[in-house]
Amino acid sequence: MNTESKTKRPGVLIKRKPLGVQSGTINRVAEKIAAAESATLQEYELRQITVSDIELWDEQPRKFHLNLEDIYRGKILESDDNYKVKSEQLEELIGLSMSIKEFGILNPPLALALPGKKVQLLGGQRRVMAFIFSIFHIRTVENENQEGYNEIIVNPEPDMSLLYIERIEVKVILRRPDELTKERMAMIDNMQRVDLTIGDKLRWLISFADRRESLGKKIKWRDLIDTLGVSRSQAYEWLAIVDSRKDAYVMEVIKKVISNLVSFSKLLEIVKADQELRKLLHDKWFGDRPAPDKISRVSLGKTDNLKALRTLVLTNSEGEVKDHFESINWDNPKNAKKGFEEFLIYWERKHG
Amino acid sequence: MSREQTIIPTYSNLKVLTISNHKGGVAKTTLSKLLTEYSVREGVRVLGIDIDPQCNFSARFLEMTNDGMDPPLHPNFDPKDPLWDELPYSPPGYWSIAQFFRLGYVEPYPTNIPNLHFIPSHKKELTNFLEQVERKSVQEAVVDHMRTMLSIEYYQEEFDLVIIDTPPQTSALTASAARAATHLLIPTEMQEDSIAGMADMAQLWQAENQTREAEKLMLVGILATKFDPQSAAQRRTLEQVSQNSVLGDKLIQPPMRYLQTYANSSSTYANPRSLFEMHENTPARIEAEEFCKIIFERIFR
Repeated sequence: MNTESKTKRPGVLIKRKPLGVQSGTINRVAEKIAAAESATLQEYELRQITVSDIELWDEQPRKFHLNLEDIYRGKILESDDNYKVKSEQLEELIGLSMSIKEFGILNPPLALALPGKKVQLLGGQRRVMAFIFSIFHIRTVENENQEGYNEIIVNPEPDMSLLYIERIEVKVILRRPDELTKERMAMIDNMQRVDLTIGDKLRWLISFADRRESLGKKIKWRDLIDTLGVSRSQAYEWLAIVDSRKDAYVMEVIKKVISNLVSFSKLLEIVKADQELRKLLHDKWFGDRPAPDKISRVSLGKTDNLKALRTLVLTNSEGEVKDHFESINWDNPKNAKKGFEEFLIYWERKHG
Repeated sequence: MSREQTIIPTYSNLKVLTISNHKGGVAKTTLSKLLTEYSVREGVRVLGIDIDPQCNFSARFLEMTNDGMDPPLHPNFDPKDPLWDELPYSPPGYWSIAQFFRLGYVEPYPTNIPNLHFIPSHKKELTNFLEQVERKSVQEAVVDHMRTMLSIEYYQEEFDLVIIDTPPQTSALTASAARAATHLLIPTEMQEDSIAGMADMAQLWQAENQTREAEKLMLVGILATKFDPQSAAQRRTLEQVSQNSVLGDKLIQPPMRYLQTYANSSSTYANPRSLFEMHENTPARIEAEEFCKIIFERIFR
């Protein structure tokens, strides 16, 4: 009895939705109708299109052996005539697929409007295939720190109905261009996304490696196929460069590659060589100029115990220098840093 | 960027009305039949075109064979005439919209009504054609086809109004009807799915207008069909739509209520032959005359 009277308390009654079609639906339709009525002649528009409504283009400029069957299957059959080429292409595609899973397609593919909802791709075949691969075969998994990461799990029985649900943003050309213009547009769409130069990639890689290292983490091959769009075997070559980047000879060649003075293959050659061979190669390529001084810098780590720093400095210095160090405000991190640098110089002078 | 302009053939005076909604069962065909009868009675020369494989619009005005799925033999058909044998299709003797799409030519059927001609549908052939279109990606050609045909002199001179009944789906055929049309009429039920379905229709309409420089596709209006005044939900929806700043102007009043009467009156052997031959006090007739009049005037204003 008590509970009943409680639920019937005024003000607790749930307000029922009004009858009939919801005003949100009506407003949405009204918006569309207003847009259609005022529509003017247009070259293109951006549309969210389900994958099933996208038709691939067979005559695209990029030579591409992979077909949709391969993507649905998630692997290349060994009996396939183009097994080798296709495997390489699939490996590259997986890289793209990983980044699409993480960030989506940043550059919408170009397509031509067909009657009804369908569109015909002019460019971005690879992106669309990578997208399909990502919905079928890439899963986001959580690790023990509850950070999500993407993992390839080839699904032998992909759920085809996803093709009718998942949508891609596509730049749709509304009026049919002539054949020549169509080809040119497809070419431009592919050219616009021409890969970064080796120098650009290398510069990014080195700074990325340094930043990862300062966080105490190493780069994995997966990071590289994601972002550089390279195959797994290529990724290992890039990793070798990262590992030996502190070697003086390698460092010099890296700098030269970045400034486009030396080819990337020379860098790979010197990375693979041992120390003796590196010197030989270096001398062979760059004449008898002396090898650069081997300066190694050491990061001395970080401490928040500034008092310990002060004690260390004061117990190891004497006389006027000690007075100077005593006058420094060691509680201020900036002064402490400067003071410690001065102390190191003093120490080097004293002990060599 | 230089582009080949999409040149849309122009009509001199011909009006082409496409009745379309991607949602099925919203009384598109019933409305097509009523409007055809009404327009004919108003004295305009009408050509009815049925592109719905269900052939119901065709069956209203022609004696379809094979359970209403195939068109009858064409009255001009003469088995002894060698010209028929030269035609590149078989079996000879009839024309349907499927032949029109395939061969680019069709001979409209005369009907019992003097100023009404008709191009019927053909269930099997049209369905086959649709499947081929899906596969061959020749849709672009199909889309322009109907407009190209209607712009030839014969149709421009012989007819004032073309009424096209469409199937409830998005296909090259529906797009073809939209391309051919000068006017668009959207019937809809006053319920969630049908109203939401109009958004798809608007998308097609917008895409069509984005390809036209002049002679934009005009919306004649939205007609509420199968309206039940007893239903509070439908009454409220109708009120909301009529108060909406965009949809309010488009809404055609009164809504269509007497669907059953319309269906009975338009069956093949109905007596009287037409709703408009019923007693003038019949509520269904009064209602139909009201909304048909508005639609007719909006087309020919």
